[in-house]
Amino acid sequence: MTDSTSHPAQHSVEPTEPEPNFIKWLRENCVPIAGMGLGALVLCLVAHYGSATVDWASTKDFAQAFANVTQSLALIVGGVWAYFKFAKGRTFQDRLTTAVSGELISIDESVFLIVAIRLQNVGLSRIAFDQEVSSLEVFEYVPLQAEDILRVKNDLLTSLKVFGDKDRYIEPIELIERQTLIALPHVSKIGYQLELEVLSNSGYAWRTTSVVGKPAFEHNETGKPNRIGEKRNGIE
Amino acid sequence: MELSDYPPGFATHRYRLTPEEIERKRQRIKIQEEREERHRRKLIEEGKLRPDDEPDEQPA
Repeated sequence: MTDSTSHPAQHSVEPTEPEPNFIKWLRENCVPIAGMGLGALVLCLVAHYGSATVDWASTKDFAQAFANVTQSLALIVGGVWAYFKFAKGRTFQDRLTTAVSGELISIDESVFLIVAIRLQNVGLSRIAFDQEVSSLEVFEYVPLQAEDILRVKNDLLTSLKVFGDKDRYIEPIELIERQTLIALPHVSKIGYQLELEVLSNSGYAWRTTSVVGKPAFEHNETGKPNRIGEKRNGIE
Repeated sequence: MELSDYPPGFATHRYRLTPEEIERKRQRIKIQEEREERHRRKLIEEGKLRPDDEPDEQPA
């Protein structure tokens, strides 16, 4: 059972760019705008081939001013587009999916917890990990005789580093999967909670939790094969 | 041992930790590392581990 708060990066399953209102307005009014442009072109042609005398000095000044205004408008429009694309659209923000899971096994009367973690960079930027603080925390649930609906309290057993020396960063669309074996001095009467918290050097954190229940352990004790080495999502 | 699957385009919620929370995490990790280092030395003394063995490429 894994619990992790997720938010859609975009509003639909198929990722689409956010569409600014200006673009919508432009799309709806493209016909009159094109008509006005065509009219302006016709006027220019009439003025050019007409019999009226042209003061080329003032025309040059007008063209210069028009060019300046056009450049300024282009800069503003480009800035607005870049703002929507990169700031509002969060195109290059750090995005990560995290998952953790555990399984209890018994070998020669010793109890072990196999922990699997998976990280995937679903953004477009490289994420550098804070290796010193990213942690996997193991909590033990405290047994209670509940006479009401209560959340079971847990007690922190240990906090382990998640990354080795070589796990410094993750590139876009890369996947990291790791498994580790933790020895336990005794078996909890209820089970354990695993909490994976990954920190990046840019100061962001991602967290996911998972409950490893006692039934998982009993499942192994019945002699059914545990799932170590079993193919999962095509990965051994 | 099932891991969550996320549909394409989805990401886990992200947030920032306070400096105090980061320091607390650092302390907890340090306690565990000291515990593991003591265990490693004990194994070396018992001859179950070679002295030049580095701690495992960590972990999960």
